[in-house]
Amino acid sequence: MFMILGSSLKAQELFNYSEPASNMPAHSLGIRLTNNILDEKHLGQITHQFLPELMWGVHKNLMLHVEAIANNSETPFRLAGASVYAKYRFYSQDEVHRHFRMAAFARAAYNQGHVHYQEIETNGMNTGAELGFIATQLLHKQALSASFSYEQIGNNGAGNDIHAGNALRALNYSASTGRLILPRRYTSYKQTNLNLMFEVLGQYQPELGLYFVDVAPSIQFIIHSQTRIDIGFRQQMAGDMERMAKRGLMIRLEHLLFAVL
Amino acid sequence: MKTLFLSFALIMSSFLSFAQIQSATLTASGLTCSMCSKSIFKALEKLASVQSVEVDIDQSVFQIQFKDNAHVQPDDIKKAVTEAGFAIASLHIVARFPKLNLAKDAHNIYAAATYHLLNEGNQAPNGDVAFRIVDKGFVPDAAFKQYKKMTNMHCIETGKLASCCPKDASIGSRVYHILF
Repeated sequence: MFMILGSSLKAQELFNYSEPASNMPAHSLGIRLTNNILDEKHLGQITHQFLPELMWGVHKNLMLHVEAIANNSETPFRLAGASVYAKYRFYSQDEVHRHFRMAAFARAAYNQGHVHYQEIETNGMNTGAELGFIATQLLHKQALSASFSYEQIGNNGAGNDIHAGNALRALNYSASTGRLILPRRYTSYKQTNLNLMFEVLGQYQPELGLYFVDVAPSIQFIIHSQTRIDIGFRQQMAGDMERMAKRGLMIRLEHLLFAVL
Repeated sequence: MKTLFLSFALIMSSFLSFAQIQSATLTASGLTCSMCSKSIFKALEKLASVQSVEVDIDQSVFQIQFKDNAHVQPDDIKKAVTEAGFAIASLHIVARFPKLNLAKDAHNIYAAATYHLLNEGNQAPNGDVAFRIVDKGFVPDAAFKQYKKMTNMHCIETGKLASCCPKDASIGSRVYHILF
């Protein structure tokens, strides 16, 4: 019985709050629309952050994202910035139903929103850059992924400088696991996939000794093996820095166009 | 005029290479999710030589039927799989051979394509014959190291004909290492 269950449970190598070491297929395009519904206590409001992204599989080992950043934090809903992201897979050890892969990634972001918070986040809040590594192990029944990155920020545009005394550098880490729940057995690309994920996301700022650790359980539907719907909830478990939100809901729609370029 | 004729002959001979390949069974590695499987499926479907692809998503196995008289190059299959982000675990080919004696551990030129048979197997193929390509990138790295020991020739490393090869072979052209 356990063997039957075991062989029908497959891992999921796409994560909701972090990127895996794998890339999207070469010559493919993807559209990703991420909505973060954030409990921004400082303003006493629920803030909507919208991150539309265009993704491009340039080469089997290289993918690029171009992203716009919009939100209604302190202003009516408006465009606050943009970022570019690149991921390069430099190591692959593939076997049937398993792999171990490593990738390096970099992000450069421009943002002209207000900067109230100690938290550093180039993906949505700060002008700056991030450089990191990802390692993903896919086993028959389980996918595990870990990432580590260094982030450096400067003043935001439009005169929105960082508050004096805030840190300019951060170390980020993530640990993720995911599992395919449905279908029990693949028979067609038309089957809707249901995946459950659990991720731990953290930041440490060496300059000030501030930190946070979040947990993020999430669910993912994959429709026609081509369209992703991700729904997740992120909650701070421990931390001592001022942040835009200590909890938030994420709703994302992603669609891949295979081999179109 | 002579050059023109020679060019035409060359084009025709390259067109003939692997023209007799009927079908292939591909097992891909490095994936489990159906989205990943679909990216390989779409890349295979896009190859000009491919008539149809049937997939067993659960086992990562793709059954490929080629068009009649299509110019099938196994390297194109490898490229499609790797560009989708994955690797080949095994590639079995079914090809139509007339009665032909293939020498073991030698270069057998047939219809402008060169096969290097590594084992004894079926050395006198006739009709539809199944063989496996064991070149680098067509099998897992660990398996390739084992297959490499089956010959002393350098071509197993590069997949290209070298100066040690028979005189009528064009140096630098592709040689596929196969097992029956």
